[in-house]
Amino acid sequence: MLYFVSVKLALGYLLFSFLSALGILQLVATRYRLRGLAFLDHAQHGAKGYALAALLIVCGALLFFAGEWHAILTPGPAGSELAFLFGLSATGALAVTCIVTSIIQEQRHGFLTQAITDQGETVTVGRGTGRLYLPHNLNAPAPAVVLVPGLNSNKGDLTILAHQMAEEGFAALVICLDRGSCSYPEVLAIVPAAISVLSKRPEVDEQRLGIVGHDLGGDLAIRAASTDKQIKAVAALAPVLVEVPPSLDLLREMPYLEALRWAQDRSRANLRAALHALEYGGRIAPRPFLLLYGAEDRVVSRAPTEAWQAQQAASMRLEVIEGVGHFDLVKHPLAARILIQWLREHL
Amino acid sequence: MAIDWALFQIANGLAGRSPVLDRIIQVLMNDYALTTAMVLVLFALWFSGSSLEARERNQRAVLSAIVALLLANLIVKACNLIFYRPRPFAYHEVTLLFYHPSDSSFPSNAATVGFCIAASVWLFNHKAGFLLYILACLLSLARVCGGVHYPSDILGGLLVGTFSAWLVIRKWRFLDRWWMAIIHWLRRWLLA
Repeated sequence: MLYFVSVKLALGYLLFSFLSALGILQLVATRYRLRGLAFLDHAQHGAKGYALAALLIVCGALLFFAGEWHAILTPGPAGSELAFLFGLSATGALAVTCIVTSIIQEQRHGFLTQAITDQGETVTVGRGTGRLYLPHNLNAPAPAVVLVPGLNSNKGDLTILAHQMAEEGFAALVICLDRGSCSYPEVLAIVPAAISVLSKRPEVDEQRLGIVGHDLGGDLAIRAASTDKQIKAVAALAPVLVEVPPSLDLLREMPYLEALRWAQDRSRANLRAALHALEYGGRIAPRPFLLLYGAEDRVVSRAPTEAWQAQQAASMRLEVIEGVGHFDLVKHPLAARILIQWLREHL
Repeated sequence: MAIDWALFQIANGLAGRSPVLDRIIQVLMNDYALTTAMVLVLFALWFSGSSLEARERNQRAVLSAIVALLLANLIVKACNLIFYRPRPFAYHEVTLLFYHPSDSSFPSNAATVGFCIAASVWLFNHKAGFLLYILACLLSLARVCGGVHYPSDILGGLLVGTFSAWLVIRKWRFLDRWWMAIIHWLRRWLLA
């Protein structure tokens, strides 16, 4: 039974343990790069996460011990009551952290997306649409690339990549995937439609068409390229191929609420299984095939993918970028550099 | 008992000499500071680990520590029912830096909790276990310095806490299956 000899002391302890638990969550989020629990973006603020953690713990302790010092040295809550209060505080701190980080990251993300000045042209791709980015000062038809986003990827990230490609002399068509067009087998019609759009454009050299896909878009790119010989080069950025079971690790990639939706989303797993990119990937050779992963990717299972890659033809190249996660890969400058260089060599 | 009393006098002799030292002892010996710090270490441990396997080991340590704590508390309650030992200040003149607890002095509740958590974690993670042993030793030492426990009460707490942790982790192997079921269920909610 809970009696609480002193309600004020109990409330003081509740606040102390709540702030301390918040601090501990910031500490582990910084130490293990759990983006879904971090109030500060570790990529920008680094060690400031530790300072915030220390501040929360010290503030909680000072408030409690300075405010309740005399009561602390008198009989207070029993051990079971303290355990109850701590459990309540820790649960509350976890809930508050998950909600606050979701809100902060959504706002941060919105701010970054607004900063992009989109200079593309909307084109019809089958039943859907896409954004076409053409290089400036075209003297001759340019090589072109279809960019396929993942199911839950941010379209803005591929837009940045498309801008970079256009600056490097490639025409880039970013497919806009919506949930309705992502069911199997309808999804298989998207890439051929995009290739058809590009090959009809006078600015595009139809003999130099490539495809780049991210996340499940990578799986779709592999599947499409395995049958469409018009595609001369395939690059898959963090294709899912083999998905890992959900765990706390997903919080390294995204905020809690988004990660929870991601983990509960069966359509992703169903689409991945239906695309069966591991089997179809073997049919791309002898055309060049680039597999690009981030070393910190916690969404895909790299070990079986690397074992599979080792058995494939020499035309397949695997690159792993240190310190980069699943979703960061598309907007990482090194990934863009490797990708563009590779496309320049093979298109 | 003579050694117990002699050791108590040495430790309690530190109290009442300097207000700063007294305040440090009071901070260390109270029911909130170090016990909360130890539970916070457990809380941190739940989310810690650079790989799935390392984190799973830490999470098993946390779950084991919770059950070991329940068992240790039951043993302490049973001890208190069959044996009551008065506090040092009841029959001796001591420098008391705390309120007058009325429950049995043996075994020390605080030492039992501290060493139980430390031993449970040590059996899975030596680094975190070592940190917890330091906290448990500080808590126990402060309780003797502050005049509320004999050294033998601490020894009793250490034995009860360590025995509970050993029993739960090394002997009650069936619990491992439960821990894995709990961890797998929590993984679906991204909490493990």
